[in-house]
Amino acid sequence: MSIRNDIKYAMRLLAKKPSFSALTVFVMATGIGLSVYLFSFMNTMLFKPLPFEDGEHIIEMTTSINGKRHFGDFNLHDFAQVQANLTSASEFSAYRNEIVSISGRDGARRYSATDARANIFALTRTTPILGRTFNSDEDKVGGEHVAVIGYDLWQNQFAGQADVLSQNITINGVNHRVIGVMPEGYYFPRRAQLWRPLRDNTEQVTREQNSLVTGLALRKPDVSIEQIDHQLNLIMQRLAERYPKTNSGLSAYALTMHMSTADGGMPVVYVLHIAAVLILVLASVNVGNLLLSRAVERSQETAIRVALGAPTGRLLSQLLWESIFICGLGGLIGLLVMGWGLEVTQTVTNQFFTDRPPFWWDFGVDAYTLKIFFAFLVGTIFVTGFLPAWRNINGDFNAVLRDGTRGALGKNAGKLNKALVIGEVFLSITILIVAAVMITASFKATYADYGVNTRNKLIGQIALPQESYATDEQKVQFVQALKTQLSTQNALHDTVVMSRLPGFSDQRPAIAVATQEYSQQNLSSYPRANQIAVLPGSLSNLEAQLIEGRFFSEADNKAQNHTVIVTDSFVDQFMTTAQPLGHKIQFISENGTKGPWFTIVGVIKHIVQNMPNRDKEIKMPSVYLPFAQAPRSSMFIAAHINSDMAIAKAALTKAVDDIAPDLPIFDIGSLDARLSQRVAPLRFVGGVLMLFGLASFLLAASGIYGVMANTISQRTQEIGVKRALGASEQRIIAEFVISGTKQLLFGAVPGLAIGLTLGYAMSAPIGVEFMDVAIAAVILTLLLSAVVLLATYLPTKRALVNEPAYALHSQ
Amino acid sequence: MTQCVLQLKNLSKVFYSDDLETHALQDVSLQVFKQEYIAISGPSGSGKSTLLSLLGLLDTPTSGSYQLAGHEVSKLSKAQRAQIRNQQIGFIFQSFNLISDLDVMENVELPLTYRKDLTKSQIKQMAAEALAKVNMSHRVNHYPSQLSGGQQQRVAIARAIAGSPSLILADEPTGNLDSKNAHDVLALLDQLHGEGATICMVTHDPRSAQRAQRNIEVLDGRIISDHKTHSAKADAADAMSV
Ligand SMILES: Nc1ncnc2c1ncn2[C@@H]1O[C@H](COP(=O)(O)OP(=O)(O)OP(=O)(O)O)[C@@H](O)[C@H]1O
Ligand SMILES: [Mg+2]
Repeated sequence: MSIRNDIKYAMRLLAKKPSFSALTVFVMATGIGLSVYLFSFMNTMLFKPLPFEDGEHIIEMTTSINGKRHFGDFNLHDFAQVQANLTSASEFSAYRNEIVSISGRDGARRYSATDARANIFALTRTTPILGRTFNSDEDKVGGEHVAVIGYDLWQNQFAGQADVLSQNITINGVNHRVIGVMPEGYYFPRRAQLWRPLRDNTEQVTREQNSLVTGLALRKPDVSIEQIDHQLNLIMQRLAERYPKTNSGLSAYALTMHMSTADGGMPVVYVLHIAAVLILVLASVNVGNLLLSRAVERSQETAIRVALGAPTGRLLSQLLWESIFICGLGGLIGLLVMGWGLEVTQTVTNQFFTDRPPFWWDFGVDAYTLKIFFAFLVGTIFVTGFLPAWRNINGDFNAVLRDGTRGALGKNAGKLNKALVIGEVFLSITILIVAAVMITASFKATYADYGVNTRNKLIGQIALPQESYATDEQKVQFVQALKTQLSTQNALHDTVVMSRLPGFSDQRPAIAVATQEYSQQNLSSYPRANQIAVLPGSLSNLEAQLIEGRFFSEADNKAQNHTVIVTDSFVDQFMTTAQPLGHKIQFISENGTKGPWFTIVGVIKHIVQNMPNRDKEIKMPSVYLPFAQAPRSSMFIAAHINSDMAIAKAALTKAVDDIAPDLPIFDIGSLDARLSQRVAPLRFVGGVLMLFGLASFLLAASGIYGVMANTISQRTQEIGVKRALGASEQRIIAEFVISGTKQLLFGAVPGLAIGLTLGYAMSAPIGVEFMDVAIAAVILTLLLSAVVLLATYLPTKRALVNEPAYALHSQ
Repeated sequence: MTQCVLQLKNLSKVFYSDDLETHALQDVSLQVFKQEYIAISGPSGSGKSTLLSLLGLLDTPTSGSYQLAGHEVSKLSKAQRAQIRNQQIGFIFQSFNLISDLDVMENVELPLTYRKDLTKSQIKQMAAEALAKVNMSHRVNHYPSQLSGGQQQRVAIARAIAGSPSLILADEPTGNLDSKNAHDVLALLDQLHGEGATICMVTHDPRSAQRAQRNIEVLDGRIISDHKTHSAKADAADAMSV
């Protein structure tokens, strides 16, 4: 009964001031929508258990070097030791990924294949919809060539025929028997479209053959990842003692599948979570203040009610219902908009990848999202309801009544207003710095200077199947033929063939520089650099800048020659001499075998062979050598185009088709687009944070203005009294501006401290220099200072427009 | 002839609100001399407060001239007017208008801090003297909400007189007080008058008005009567006897 009255009363209050109500609902929708969005987004990307039974326990294990986590693979024999000794996990499995081409009726197509231990399907508790998975006989050297195919492949290559199990499939030129079809949406471990057995084991393959795998297992429910890491460390340490030459410095760690995708960006993720909470607090404080200002307007009414004996509970209940309506409606709108935002996110994130995103990137309003939503909703109701309730219940009713002055500020209310401004400044500056760091990062990554000319380049990728291009001669022959073929195409100029184009990292073997001392004779004491195979002419065609020496000539492109070009970053980081030309370097393979000496014939300006944001703190050096000296099966083709893109694409496809009709050339497109796509996730998060920054700035600006305007209008009478006593206008303005500046400082100093700390934590992983963060912080502080000063100056000026008599009259 | 402190000629004040024109004062002419004690009375809404606001430079007239100490007020800048309010005029309000965030001492010091010619210790001393005069020295560290109405008004008077203004303007200073406190406040005004201040006081109470030397009656924005009181004659007699 009484509750119904309270609800009615609260509704009447809201209906009486529609624009006020709309504003508060809007602010709440923004706050809840943005923060829940960010939480939901990151949960899906990073934390949500995989959609399998026991999915929350699946871990991936990879290796680190000298404590640096780099997602390295295990030697098969090392992983066997891990499997035997790691008691905190069970159901070990292993895999490696390969891009394969499958020939079909309409030519060769490229697919993501995973070669895995037979139990990989059991690990995910998933059974095929047709046929069976591998048995252990097939998972051996010499076992029958069999494949389990994914749903997409079944549909595309076999048109979903039911008799697929009796058919064969040609993978990289080798016939495989199809033995099973996995259900739709199954892409484990990440984006696999077909699975083959690993076909090797420790009895059949020696340690020196260095067969590499990534480890998988189920974490035992009662152990943490940290405990597993601890055990892994011990196991790897023992291996390092036994095999110092190959294993010293080598360790291993476990991650959930999600975390391996986050790839060192976790500080950023945590900072974003903090920012999400802060924006919610900001919105709540704003709405709380709006309600508070109304409560102050009503404080005399409340005081009279208290004097008439209204119980505190009733007054609280009315205030709370108001908050419940505003937060509930705002939250609902925020949830709807956010749900739409997650759908957009799904579309946008699908474009991050040349094939498809990890299968768990399934964005939408899920149970977790709803849970967070309700938690936030309750929190905001509490905060927004608490502020005005505190003001009204804690206020000195007697003083309000005796004063009789409507807006008279109690000492506490004045303090609360100051605290609000300080809080808004603090929160917004923190969020803004975080946003600025993210935006700077995405800007820098998008407009990165790779050290070469990336404009007007058409690129494509080729992966020579091991089966038909087994020897180095075959690979070199293919590339030579390709080069000749490309030169006949009029639409393509300045052809480039490289194992990895700028922007992409390559294999990074250990390297020794002749005459330089290395502390220990084991792998981990040598530096590592990208080892990139190039056809002569490629570097100059990309307009790499030669600092000294020369580019490669055709004469270098012979297996018996040993010439390399290094980047200046290589010289700076790894060489003690200032005259690198003529010096010799040597590559050391993973099993510790040292290769021949190569002579440095040229030094070029650093080329970014890495994600641009990861190449900021420490530049990743590269060594280039002629293709014939280090033949590869995977390579990029690039060519300058000055005509139509479609014609150039056709020309490129034709060139490859003419020499190898079964070989697909994939991911054809412009180099700039490809590079830009690679930093799209960063750009996306940058965009989201831009929205965050903008929202928080608007919230803070309007909030600060609201509080200030309120404070000042509540002090109209005081201003009048002071003027009557002879205070000049400048004096009054100065008083308010000084008090505003104090609040600004009290908020900005801790805000800067925390914002800069968070910014610092984020800056390294996303490739922003701390200087940039500091500059952004200064600019943002100035901006907020302007807001605070305007927010004090304008209402003060307005309060001074009328003669003091009016202000005194306003009592 | 005693010195003329202020002179109004055909002063009018019109308030425009929405589509309503209120002629709060119409063609008011008035001369106030040094050391006069004037009581202004009249029915509610007749324009007493408006008149006092104009006298105190808290508002500007719509038309007419106002000369304060020989200066035409309309020609003064805002800053000059603020300075005059600060140094030559003391205000006492019906609702005390103490600043709730400041304690008693700070309230009294407030107008003095607006002056550039005083040191901190001078300010302290002047404020303390003013508080002593109103018998509030024992409450310097209290906040207004901790004082009774009569005490608040005494502090407000201390604040008005701390800078020794020559003109004291009081708008129903006893309106919110009981008769005992009202009596104390009026006694204080008498004392200030005795010490040489010119006082203009708005009051509803005929007995308070009787304490003044001159009574002005306002009706519908016009002065309808202006005459000396008995006490003025008594004062004159006093002066003769000295
Ligand atoms: N700021 C204003 N805007 C519009 N009208 C005003 C304003 N101030 C005063 N008035 C009007 O001017 C007239 C005179 O008001 P004033 O306050 O001077 O009366 P008063 O004689 O002091 O009355 P009271 O004895 O009730 O205090 C009234 O009709 C009042 O409504
Ligand atoms: Mg009045």
